Amino acid sequence: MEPSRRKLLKGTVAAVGLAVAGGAGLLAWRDELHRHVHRGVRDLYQRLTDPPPPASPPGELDAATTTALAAAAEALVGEAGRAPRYLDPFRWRAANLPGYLDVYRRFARFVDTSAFAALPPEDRRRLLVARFPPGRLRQALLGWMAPERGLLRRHVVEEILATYAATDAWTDLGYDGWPGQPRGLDAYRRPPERDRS
Amino acid sequence: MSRSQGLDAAEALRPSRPARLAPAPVAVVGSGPVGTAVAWALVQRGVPVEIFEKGPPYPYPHREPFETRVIARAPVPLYPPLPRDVQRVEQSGDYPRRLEGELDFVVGGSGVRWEALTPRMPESDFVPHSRRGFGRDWPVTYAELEPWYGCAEALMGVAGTDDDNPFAPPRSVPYPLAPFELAWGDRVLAERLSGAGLHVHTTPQARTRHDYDGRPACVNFGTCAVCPIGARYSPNVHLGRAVATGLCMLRSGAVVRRVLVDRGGRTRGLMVHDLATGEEREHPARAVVVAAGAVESPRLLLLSRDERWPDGLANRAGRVGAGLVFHHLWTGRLRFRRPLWPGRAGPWTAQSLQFVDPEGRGRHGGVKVELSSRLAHGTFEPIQAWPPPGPLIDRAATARDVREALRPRLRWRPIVFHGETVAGPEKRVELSSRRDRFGDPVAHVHYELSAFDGETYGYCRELLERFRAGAGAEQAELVGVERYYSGFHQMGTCGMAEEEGEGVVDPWGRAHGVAGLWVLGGAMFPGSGTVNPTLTMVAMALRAAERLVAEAG
Repeated sequence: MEPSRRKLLKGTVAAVGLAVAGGAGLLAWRDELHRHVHRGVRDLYQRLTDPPPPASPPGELDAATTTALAAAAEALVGEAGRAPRYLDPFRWRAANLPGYLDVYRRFARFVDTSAFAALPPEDRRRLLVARFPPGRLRQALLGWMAPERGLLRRHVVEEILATYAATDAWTDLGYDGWPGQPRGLDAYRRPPERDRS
Repeated sequence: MSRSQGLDAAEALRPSRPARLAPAPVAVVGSGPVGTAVAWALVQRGVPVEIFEKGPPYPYPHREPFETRVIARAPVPLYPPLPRDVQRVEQSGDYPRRLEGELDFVVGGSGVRWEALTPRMPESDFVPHSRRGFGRDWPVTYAELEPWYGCAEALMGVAGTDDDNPFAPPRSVPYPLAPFELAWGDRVLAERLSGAGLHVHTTPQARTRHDYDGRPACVNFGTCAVCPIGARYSPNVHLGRAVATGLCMLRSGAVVRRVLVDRGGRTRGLMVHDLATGEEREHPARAVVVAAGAVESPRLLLLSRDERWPDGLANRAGRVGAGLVFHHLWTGRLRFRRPLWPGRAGPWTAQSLQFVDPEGRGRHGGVKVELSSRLAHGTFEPIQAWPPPGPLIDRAATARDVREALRPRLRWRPIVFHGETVAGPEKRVELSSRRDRFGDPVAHVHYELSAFDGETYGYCRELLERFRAGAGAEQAELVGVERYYSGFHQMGTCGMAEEEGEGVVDPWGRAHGVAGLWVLGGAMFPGSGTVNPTLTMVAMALRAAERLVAEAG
């Protein structure tokens, strides 16, 4: 029994020693550890919620892709979504920045352009909302479980909504125009038409 | 480096073939509003000038950036950034923003995207010590500078009026352009506030209320950081014209590493590194004007030390880099029962100079209040009259969600407090231990709020409550004291003083003890003052140029 008791004692001492050393190490490195973990989690979250476009060459949008994007804009925004201003950001990014053309083509394939464009706008809207649900947490889940959909939500659906926020949202809310339009130097000194009525 | 010469302004500012001209008698370091004003004034008097700018060229008017940033909303920088080490600024203290993002290394400097507010400094800003017992008096009076203010306003095309502003300093000439009137929402607030003894008035600004000096009238795009027609003043207006005279050479991509001084203690030129070719060369000049901002200007003087100046040029008194001051801007907002429709005016409209010299000034700083329809949230990015829509877009499934999330914002109006500070040991620029690719230490900015600044913030909170009550707002919010920002106004690191022991340059901007060396711009300010500094910088620069011509002649 003696040797096994000694063994047990030795083992206990070693375990306690290890625990103390580990604890001291953790204490000493906790800031660093915290920073690493925090940075890692943040980077992962960022990648999931804001996935970058893949590395592929820029180029001109083709007709089918353009049709798919225009149909999506109309579905999310309504009639105004047909305006060229909703396609301008897509065209510029596709032509000038790597990866975006590829993303937009993937979107066209994902929704199956001809079938998608043939749907009534309300059905298209329902389909987009179901496939690309809002919310950062959902976006993170999409990025993890269905990265393709996460990519398309971020770079197609959200871009359409951002264009809306910068343009038609202003007039829908009652403004006479939005920044980026030459609004002149008279109207701003009066209340907007809608406010006057 | 690219050399630009002749042809029209926009073309002249594009990079062109490298070349070599005969040395100009005056070398200017920095192509922002100050460097440009000096260069323009000199070529008008027939004095050849060579301008050295570290950054790349920038188009004028901003048609191309307008297409990319506003129409295409492209996620690209406003201009190509320099390699990180070449524009690096180390910082410590409590300033919550990255200063590197505030320093524009580009042809035109910060003038390529500034907000173009151009108030004159009140007379009381020149004499804080003798009037209120704090800070340092300027060795220049408002009366001395007044004619130069008029010149600066004419140069930049300032629109304004003092008819509605009882706090404006006296002036000998009218504004060159009619004012931008108050926006409707601002007028409503001004009427309510006047009942509470609070005075709101129009804002002088370098925007064209009508056609002026070859620039078209503003049409209120509202994306003023990138003005597609050139209504908002940019130094590139006069850079292009100066180059077109054939007397001015503009070298972009030119990193000035040293100011060179001869054995007699007189400047003899610059040591310049060409980023494109990697070539390094001495550029002779009889006079050197350093106009590189309040961070890079002192850095250049500190880097230019030699046996005669072991602590840096013009730094016998150890004052180079000391005296750094920012403006401290705290943004807030007021919520009203009914919409006041913010964001309809690109030009700035309402502000108040009522509190730039209040009774308690000295215990705290003076404050300019900005209550403009220009912004609903402090930002220098285009089309963000509302806060960036990122989180709002995240939560939206369709346009209707976006619209409903934006709707409450119609009832909020911004209010910005633009606070004065005083210099102290907690605010300074030094050389860092980190070096750039040339082995030169980069600038290290240390900046902390002081007890004085805390008092100023407290005063801003008092003002917020007065404005809330006076305007009939339901709610008022202000960021915490720690969330201040400079408004891109960095000043005071090569301060003016009559005596060498008291400052770095004399009241004209001539470096104490170094013949032929001038330091101009916000760096020469002895204190922050209370209002936007660019007009004062340009007025001081034009005044200095006159003296420079006389001395060069």
